[in-house]
Amino acid sequence: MKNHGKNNQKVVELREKKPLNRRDFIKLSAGLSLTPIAKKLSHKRYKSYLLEGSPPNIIILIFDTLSAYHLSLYGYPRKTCPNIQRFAENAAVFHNHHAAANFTTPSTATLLTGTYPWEHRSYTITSSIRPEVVPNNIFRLLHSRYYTAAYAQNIYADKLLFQFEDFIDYHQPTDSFNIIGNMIYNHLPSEEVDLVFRSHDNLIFTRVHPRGSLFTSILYDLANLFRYQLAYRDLDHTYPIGVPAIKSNYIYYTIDGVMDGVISMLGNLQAPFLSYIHLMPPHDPYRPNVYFYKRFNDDWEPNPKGMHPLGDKPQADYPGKRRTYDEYIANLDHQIGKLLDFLKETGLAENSYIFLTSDHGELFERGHHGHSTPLLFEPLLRIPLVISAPDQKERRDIYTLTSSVDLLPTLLHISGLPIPTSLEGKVLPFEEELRDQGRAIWALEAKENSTFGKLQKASLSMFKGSHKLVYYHGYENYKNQYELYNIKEDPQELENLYGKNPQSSEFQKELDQKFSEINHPV
Amino acid sequence: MTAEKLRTKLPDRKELLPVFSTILFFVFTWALYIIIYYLPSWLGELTAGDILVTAAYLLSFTLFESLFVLGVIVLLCIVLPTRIFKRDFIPQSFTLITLASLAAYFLHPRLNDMLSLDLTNLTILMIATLAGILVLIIMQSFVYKHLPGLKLSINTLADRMTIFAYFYLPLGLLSLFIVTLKILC
Repeated sequence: MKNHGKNNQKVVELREKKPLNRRDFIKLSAGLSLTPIAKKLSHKRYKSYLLEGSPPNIIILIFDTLSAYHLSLYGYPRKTCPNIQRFAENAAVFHNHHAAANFTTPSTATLLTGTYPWEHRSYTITSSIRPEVVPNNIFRLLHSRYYTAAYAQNIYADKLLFQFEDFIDYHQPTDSFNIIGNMIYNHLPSEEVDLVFRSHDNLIFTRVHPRGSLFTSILYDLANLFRYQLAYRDLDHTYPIGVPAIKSNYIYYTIDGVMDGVISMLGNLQAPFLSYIHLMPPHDPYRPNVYFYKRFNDDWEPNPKGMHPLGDKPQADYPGKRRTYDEYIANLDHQIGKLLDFLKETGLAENSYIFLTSDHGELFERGHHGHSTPLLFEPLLRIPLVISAPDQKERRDIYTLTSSVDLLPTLLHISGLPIPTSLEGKVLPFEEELRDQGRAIWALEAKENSTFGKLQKASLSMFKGSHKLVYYHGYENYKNQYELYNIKEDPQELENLYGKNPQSSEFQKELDQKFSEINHPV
Repeated sequence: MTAEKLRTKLPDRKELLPVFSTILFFVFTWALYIIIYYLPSWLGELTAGDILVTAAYLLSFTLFESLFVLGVIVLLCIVLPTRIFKRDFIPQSFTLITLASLAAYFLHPRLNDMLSLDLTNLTILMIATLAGILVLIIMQSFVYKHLPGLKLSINTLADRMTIFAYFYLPLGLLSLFIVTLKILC
């Protein structure tokens, strides 16, 4: 496996030793009782943790486009995630966790920097994080305690990681586990990545029209079509509607192949490690394998909702697409089960904090299918968060409003590291006394705006208590409109309470103030 | 094929410039169109320096692409009988490049439609395209033999294209220089 990190030395010693406290002693005792299992395995690093009292590992698992709305863990009527539910039995389950944006680049940037989109300014799909924000990133801030490793199957998320390359000890190339598809940028020095990505991978070697090369793009397309057809001859029985793909760049993979790669990667990391893993499924195209395709043969549909003024696909086959998406989630969940079994069998589950979450959700209503939209409804923003701690033996359900901006402060808190004041999130409420019912959390959609200027066209959502106020700013056919929902009593957002609810003006005042604070050029 | 025989099959150096200029015209004009197309979105995300380097990366690739296309043309000249291709090197190449460029321009927005083709149909399409190119070359050879006036007109037109080499070639080389400087610094 290639190591792209600047610090190529595997960390053997702790960067900072702490004396054993009572919690560490209990963990150590528990760990020693696992010695017979540990002896079966050839994982010296886990023994070093058990014996040396190093901090637990941190494993962050991001599943692209996984909406909490579609998980049986959160009450969805289709049984889409029995393995995640199994995992949740010994974990903290966050029921009101939200992304800070409705697509990958800004929401991932929020996860990695602990700041909202107006701060890191990764507004568009190809954006980078503002240089001033880059230093306070997950890898640099935790580097003193952990061997840091990262793998992002989503090429736009992976490109962001190169901004932190100096503090990623092991950066698994994004094309590692593909059956077809290689990216040029991730084999270059990190200083060249962004511009080579833009000029080559995203312009010439892409399927997005217009392509940057008159002849090479065509030859590249033809070559990849041949390669895919040849590979598909062996896979057509397993994947009846096609192999999972990143369509924009001719990348094809199998979910089990990728998961096997991730398991192999995790099994070879030097403890204590922080691993950040971002996988594509269940991102469109939804391509479950033959064991999951057509699994859900019911006629279930959510309450019908009308076309939103900002909806753009009125004729989309929502029931069919929703069903295939659910089946794809179930397929993914099966592989998650394999990963969880691996973590348990190797002792990693006992020795690690495991964060299972998503970057954003997916929408199948209101006149839009997907997540490339100005809309900010709950299926797009409400994402799963399940956290298993090393000493956790029972499930805990948390209903406080939380945001993906809270992830980095939480990691710093559990690592005993200081939290920079520039981070905009708070430590997640594992304990009763940390709950804060009064704060607002936010989501911003601004893909049609310049990184440098003021917001011309944007959607801003404020969550406070059980309410959610959305402001649509600058859209031609829906100019400067507000929508208010009680997401506790009306989780499907059927009734717009703006103007009817006595708190409308109070919420609007707070949102307007925030908007004016964040709406400035850089 | 011996070196001597290979040398006789290669086109004259004087004939390469008009042909290369024609390639440069189509390939670089497309690249500049792409830069202008994406410039508004780049302005929203990148500094002026980054835009310049991104464009330089693209134009450097375009220069190599031009050389690759020229290489294909020269390969055709070597492989095909002299009386079919090399004898009318400039008009054959000029027509071939022009038609290929127009076909590529037409094909670009329709490339995604090819996804529905299975392996057999894709193979048939490729073979048919190559056969079509060969037939076109043979037909052109026949036409130029019997219409010397047309051949002269195309030669003149190709000769006029050399002006684009004086603009696009330095642009490509400058881009290559910028990219090299960026990497080394």
